[in-house]
Amino acid sequence: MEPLIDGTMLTDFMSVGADGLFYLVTLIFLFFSLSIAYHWLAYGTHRSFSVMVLVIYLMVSMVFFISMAVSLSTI
Amino acid sequence: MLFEKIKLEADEKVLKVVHKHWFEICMRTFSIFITAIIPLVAWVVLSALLLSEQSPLEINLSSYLGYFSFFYSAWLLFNWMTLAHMVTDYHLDVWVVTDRRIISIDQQGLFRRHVGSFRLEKLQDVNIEINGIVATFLNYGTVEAQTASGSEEEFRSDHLPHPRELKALILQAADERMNRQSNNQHQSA
Repeated sequence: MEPLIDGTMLTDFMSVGADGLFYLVTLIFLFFSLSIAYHWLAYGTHRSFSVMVLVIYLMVSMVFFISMAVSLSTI
Repeated sequence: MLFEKIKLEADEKVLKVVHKHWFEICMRTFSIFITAIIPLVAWVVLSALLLSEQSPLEINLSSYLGYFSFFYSAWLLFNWMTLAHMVTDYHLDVWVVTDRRIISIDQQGLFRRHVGSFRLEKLQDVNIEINGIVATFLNYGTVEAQTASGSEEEFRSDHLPHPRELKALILQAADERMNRQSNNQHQSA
């Protein structure tokens, strides 16, 4: 009799979960980043400082996104 | 930008723009940093335990490295977004002291923002409160402006840097405003 749960089921489940999570995180990130950008550009005290903060925020976020994408491709 | 939204009056001069003290944001950043590294520490500890000879489990963690890398990157991104939210909240919480009024802007989350202002003629008193060793050494505290109109809660803010200097600046601006107004009244009479 075959076991109901074997080792591959967990990795299959995690793989589907990782794909779904990637799209969900991308959606949340886009919505959140638009909100943040609006607040900084509308209510910040200095435009140059606001733009600099947004550029840093987006660049670091891109590093995490690239890391997620590379990891996802190896799964 | 902020001053376009506030719509300063003609000839109104901004005397000071006050954000909360840097120590406030440092403490929160530290807590986010701790939260961010917890999964990494757990992974390292688990790897060390599984590699030890006494470990009863035979799990090859390296086969899950791709998953860990993916989920940990997502976790770091989530923490990074939390930090961005916190910095935004910190930067947009501001007191603007002009030569005519005090404007208090309280950013509560991304979609709740309270803007209150009162004219310096209505100022009755400014109270400051410095609580604790850290606040005393780093010179930050709570500043509360009492107005004649009574509604005071919106003009109370904590973790403001240099509260004594801020109080002196506000009282000086209020005195100058009152003097200017009384001079104008004498000239028109």
